[in-house]
Amino acid sequence: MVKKGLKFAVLTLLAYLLQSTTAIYLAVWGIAPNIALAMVAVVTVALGRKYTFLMALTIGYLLEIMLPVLDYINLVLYPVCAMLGALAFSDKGERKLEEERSLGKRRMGNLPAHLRTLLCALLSILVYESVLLMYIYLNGILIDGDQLQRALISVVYTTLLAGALQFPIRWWLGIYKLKRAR
Amino acid sequence: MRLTEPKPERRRNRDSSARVLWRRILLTLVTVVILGLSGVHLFGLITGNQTLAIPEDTVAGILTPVQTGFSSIVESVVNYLYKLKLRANLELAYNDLKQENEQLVYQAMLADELQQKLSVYEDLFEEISVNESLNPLVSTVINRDAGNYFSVFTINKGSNDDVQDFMAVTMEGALVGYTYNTSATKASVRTIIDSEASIAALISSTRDQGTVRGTLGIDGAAMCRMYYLPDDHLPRPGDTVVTSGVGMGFPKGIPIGVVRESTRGMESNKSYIVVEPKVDFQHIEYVIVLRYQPEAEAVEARASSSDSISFTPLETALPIPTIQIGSDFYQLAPTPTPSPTLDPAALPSDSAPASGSPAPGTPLPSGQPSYEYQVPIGMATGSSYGFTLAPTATPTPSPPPLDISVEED
Repeated sequence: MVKKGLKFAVLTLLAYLLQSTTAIYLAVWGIAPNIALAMVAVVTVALGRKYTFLMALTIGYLLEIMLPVLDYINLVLYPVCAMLGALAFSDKGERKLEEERSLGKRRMGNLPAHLRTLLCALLSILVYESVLLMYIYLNGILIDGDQLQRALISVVYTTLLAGALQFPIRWWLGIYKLKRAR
Repeated sequence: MRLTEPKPERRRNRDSSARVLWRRILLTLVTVVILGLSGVHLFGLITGNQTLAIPEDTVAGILTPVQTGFSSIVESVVNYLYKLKLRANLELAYNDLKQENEQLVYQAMLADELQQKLSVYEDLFEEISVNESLNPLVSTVINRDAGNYFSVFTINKGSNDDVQDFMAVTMEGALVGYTYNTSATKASVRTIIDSEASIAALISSTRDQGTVRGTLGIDGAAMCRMYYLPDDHLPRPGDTVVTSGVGMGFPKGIPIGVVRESTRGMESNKSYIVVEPKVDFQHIEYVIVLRYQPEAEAVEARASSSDSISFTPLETALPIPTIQIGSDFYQLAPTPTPSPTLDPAALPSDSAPASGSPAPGTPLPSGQPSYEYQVPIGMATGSSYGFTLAPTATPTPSPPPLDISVEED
């Protein structure tokens, strides 16, 4: 338990540090990816909703106090985006899956984990970019094709980054060692 | 019968439940702490109370050194990767620059070549322009004799272009040689340095006439020698030698070269002077053939003069002798008057005197074509031909000193 907790804490801290220090160096066409949301998406599928919320909240809080771009925005937006993704794509317990199977429901939660990670990251970053676009639009700035293009690049880049990061993170968290449920 | 779980199994289940419980408690606690911190932060932002910023400052104080260290690590990694990228790019840039440099060198060489060609064309154009009356024709050298004893080459113009044998061939305002062995589409040119070439020439300053012959077959040097000069004059080194217009149908005044060595008067067995040709015979690409026809011009000149001058025999007191041959009598024609007097009224007022020819270099009246070779202005200085000796004072030929020593018995 302590080991998992430590790994989670290190992962959370790493997500924050990478987002605040490294993301700028990974910019493509001047657009930096959101590493924190990508890692949160990986944790969402790998560890579940509770860890997702805790991680997103911690990252949001740290970004809020260390990089205060806008008041409240990081503190609110990170948990909200992460939990929206978690609602749709987080790992479910065996009991929940059995219940859904018995009811004949085929939801997105039954998709392969690696694909759900991608979709979760896509949903999270989509919400994040949409909120930011709405924010600047409400501040009187006209949204044009250039800004939409930048948002689109950010969404695609972050999604692809989550797809790439999920393998080392899941391996590090020991997800691949778990026995597959029958 | 009541089934009971085995004791180790029961303990394991109990431990697992406790672990799950502790995990939940810990997770809840951490979540509550983070939520509390977030709430305090939000409340502090709303109220502006500085006391509520204490937890935030504490977290920032803990996190700042961690972030500083991590940031420096990231910076070093990025710098290292940047150096690697720069190193890879340096080689790429070096190769690109090398290729670009080679291309620029090639372009510069091409530009030099084109500039050289343009210069040659300009010279040719100027030479043709000033000697238009000599019917010049630009030709390209298409073949060259690589021998050490003869200097001949072939041009791409022949009798189809009115080129005939023994026409003067010039380049850069100087005589190259003359045509021979002319066919329909080509002609051979024998240069003045060939031993077989023999051209009538004169020293431009003293007007002494002689014959220029090549020395290539004699000593292998691309020079000329001038023979048959008068004994009482000695040319000065640096004097210009030009064609005299005697002999072959060459225009008069084509520069041949300059006097290089004039020691004829000092060496009794030396019957020539050395003339350095003006033409660079190693770099002949284009030449000009002067299709000059002296006979036709001379006939025209005579015909025109006969129209205005009429011969009128004068009365003479001398008896005309009559010769009888057989039964026929023949009367001899009267002796022509040695100097017939021309009627001044019959002469046109603006015509030049019919007797005598204009002095060399005297400009002819306008509208009358000039048949003397005109050296282009840019080539008259001889600056493009390299080394030229300055004229020096005429050396006075002096007899060898008399041997007045007395032999002792």
